[in-house]
Amino acid sequence: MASALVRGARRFPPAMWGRGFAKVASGDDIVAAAPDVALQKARSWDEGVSSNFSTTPLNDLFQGKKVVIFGLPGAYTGVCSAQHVPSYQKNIDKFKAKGVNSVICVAVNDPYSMNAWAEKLQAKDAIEFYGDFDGKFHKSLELDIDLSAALLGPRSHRWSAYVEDGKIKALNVEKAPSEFKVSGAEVILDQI
Amino acid sequence: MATATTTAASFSTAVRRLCVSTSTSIRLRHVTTSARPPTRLISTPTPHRLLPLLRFSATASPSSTTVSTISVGDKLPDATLSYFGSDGELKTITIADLTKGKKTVLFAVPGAFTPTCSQKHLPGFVEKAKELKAKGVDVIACVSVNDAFVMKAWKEDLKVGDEVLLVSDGNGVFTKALGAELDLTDKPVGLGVRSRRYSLLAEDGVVKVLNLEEGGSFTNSGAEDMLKAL
Repeated sequence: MASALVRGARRFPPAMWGRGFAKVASGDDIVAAAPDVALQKARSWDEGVSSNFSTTPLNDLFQGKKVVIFGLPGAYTGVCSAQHVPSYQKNIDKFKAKGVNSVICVAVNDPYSMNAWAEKLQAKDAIEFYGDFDGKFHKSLELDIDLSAALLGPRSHRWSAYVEDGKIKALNVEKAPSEFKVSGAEVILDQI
Repeated sequence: MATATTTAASFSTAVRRLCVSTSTSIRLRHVTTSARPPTRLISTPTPHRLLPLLRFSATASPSSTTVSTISVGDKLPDATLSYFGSDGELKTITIADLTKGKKTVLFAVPGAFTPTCSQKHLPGFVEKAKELKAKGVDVIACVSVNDAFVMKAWKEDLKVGDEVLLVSDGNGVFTKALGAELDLTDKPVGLGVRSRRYSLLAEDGVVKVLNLEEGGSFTNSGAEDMLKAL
């Protein structure tokens, strides 16, 4: 059975991972692409209880605002922790100088893991962290990727976008989640 | 959604690159042979197959329970779990590795970084680990449907040493096979499909004691109850 699966796998070349596009592109409305989707703000359980586990609809995040948003495969993983988040942390003043209202980090993790991770990285002052715990946000944008083979389950690609009043002005998606070439802060700063 | 059916080589490359960071060097140890299809990802010499992983369907919704829930006298279903060793390496381990020829206490929590799990369930077992081992328990392991990275961070956060092994049932395969799934997807708590809270004692893989909670409640699945049962 295993041999059949691996034979089947050979039909899918590693290029399956090599995708640099999504369902949406520059000019599209991010909220319209993901209707009825809400994200969960990273929080501790107690904060969740006191807020009645409220979720944040996309409209609240994007309407009337200039937002830089980036997504990554997972909290506490290598590139995400060591390069992706720090790249935005370091450049937060430059983003503010360009009129960006908020910098958001989103991953397919539950909000409690996201919160613990954000606190560990001491990044909560600069960046707002949200959990797309059921992957709906990324699925709607076709930015989801199945990393079950790496024991991670359904996750998201590594990507970044600049969104003005809900309209995507720039979108960068890495060819593979392990790469970190186009989704860093420096790249998107030039695109704003 | 693309199913990640990759060749063995590109998979291990991808995981290695996903894991590599500048601050910690994490190497995924594996054995890849072109002659034998199953890719070995474990650090122990016991061979096993990766079937449960490759077959995982990417949707989060669980199927209706066609698997009956585990009960005393059943043999534990085999599955592959993952964890970070004390050397910082990502390793996989099977239920067979954890239970064959051993007295194993397995307990499951719905989620890392959630209150009962963090404040009572896991700490309870860490505290009672010595006593449990004195009563002949060889392995104490905590399972959760969280990935190995989150489990490692949680372990460090709670300063858990080697007394309790924290393992990840990242794709929920083991939990599903036990019939112990807890579907919280429609609840606003943001946890998706997790595991019910339970503790069990397995002797050579056969369940001798089982304390399975309804959902995430914490009534009889703690360390003290397990000690009493031994």
